[in-house]
Amino acid sequence: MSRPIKGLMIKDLRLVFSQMKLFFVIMAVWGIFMAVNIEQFYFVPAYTAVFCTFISLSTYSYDEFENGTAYLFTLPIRRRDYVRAKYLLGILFMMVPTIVITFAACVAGMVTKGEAAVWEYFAATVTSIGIALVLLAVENPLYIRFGQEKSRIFKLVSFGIIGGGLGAIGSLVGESADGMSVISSILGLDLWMLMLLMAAVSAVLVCVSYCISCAMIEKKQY
Amino acid sequence: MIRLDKVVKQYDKFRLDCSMQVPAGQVTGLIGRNGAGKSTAFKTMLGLIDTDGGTVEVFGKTAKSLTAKDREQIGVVLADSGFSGYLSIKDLIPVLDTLYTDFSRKQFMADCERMELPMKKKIREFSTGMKRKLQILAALSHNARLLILDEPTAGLDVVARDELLNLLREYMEDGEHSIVISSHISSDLEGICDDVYMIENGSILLHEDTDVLLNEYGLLKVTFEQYDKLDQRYLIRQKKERFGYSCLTDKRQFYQDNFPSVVIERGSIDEVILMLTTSGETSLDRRDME
Repeated sequence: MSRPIKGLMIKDLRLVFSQMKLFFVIMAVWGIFMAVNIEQFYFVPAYTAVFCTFISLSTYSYDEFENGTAYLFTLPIRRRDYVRAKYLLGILFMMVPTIVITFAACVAGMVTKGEAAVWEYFAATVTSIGIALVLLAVENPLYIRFGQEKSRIFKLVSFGIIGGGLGAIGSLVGESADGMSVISSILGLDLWMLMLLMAAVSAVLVCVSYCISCAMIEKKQY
Repeated sequence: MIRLDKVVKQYDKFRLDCSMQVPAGQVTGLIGRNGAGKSTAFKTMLGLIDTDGGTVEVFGKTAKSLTAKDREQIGVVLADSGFSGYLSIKDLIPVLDTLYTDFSRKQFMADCERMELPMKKKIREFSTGMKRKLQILAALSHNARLLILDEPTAGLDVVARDELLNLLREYMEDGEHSIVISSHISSDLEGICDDVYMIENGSILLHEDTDVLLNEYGLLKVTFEQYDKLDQRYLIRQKKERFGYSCLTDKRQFYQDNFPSVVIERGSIDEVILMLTTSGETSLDRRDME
């Protein structure tokens, strides 16, 4: 890892841990509690992945505090190093806590109930990370282009588009024979194939998003 | 070290249009009123904003093409920006240590202690002066060849300002470093700068060596009768007053020798700024601006 990216990652990790120590403890306890007490265990990795992604995104607002981003770009970093560090942080933050908390929940379930659906936990974790990667791909360019405050409006719009898209797929499934066959063929895949497909799509989305973010930050005026 | 050649930056109601140079081994001052364009000029040097014309060169490269290695050679203080307030100095040290190959952790910590900056307190809880001191110490902590300091003394008390100026003098001792510094406190610049640029409404009004400005410029206070008899060839600008006229000259000695009855005040950056930026009855600007 290059010095600029390492330096930026240290900054972000220090920012997050100094602000959110308690949050991580609560999250771990909550994960174990959920695993022991509810049947829908897949909720644990999904919730963890999405929340941790938002935590990584919150570092933009710490940088923006008192126009701090301008100062950051006077340090020995290139603008694309900043973007790269944000994506790496996002990936690190969604994966490590999600895996750790899901593993802890799995162990807790095994100890208290005497059994744990390891495969289902694994599938739920991979799916959750895939969803969080999509979130990361959508949110990062919005934060870079519009900043913490203004991006809220665009976030609502983007969620609206995603929701609308899902609705459209729903109606497609209902009304179109071709659409139906496409969805059916996807749903007809084995679970591991579906996960692989999802991982591939997420990876492509993150790469495209990274390129867009780099282009945006190069044009940004401070 | 830095060259701004006919740099233009157009905003809705403001236009920066200036040329200036920061030579190696010198301290160059940029002085002007609030909103005159000092920070915009600094931001063009640092590549924080795109320009609409002209060229900006730092170390012979365009500001945008500076590599991380080049930027290690620059220490910066910005007037309206700094480290994230959610970090403490303790958090900052490993960051600077990673980013700068020449970061002197020991010296930085010792300087922070000397300036009474708390290591564990969040920067957002610092006073304005403390934040400024931290930025200055960070700029000096990695053996940069060039310091770009936008209002580094703003918010500092007299003692801290003096301490800072001494730090900058020490920094300049080896003759290989350069500083470009802006301030609206002219006495700070008079004491440290080799040359000064005066900026107003985005344009450079005057560029002069500080010694020349202090030793050869003067302010003539003349009555209406004295004014009529005065040789006006060396007046840069005049302003009508109740008693007569205030006149700015860059040939103080000439008037001292030839008009001994005229009251002549020694030149100072403040006087020159006041004369150049406040509207006089007649403008006699005749200086060939660089």
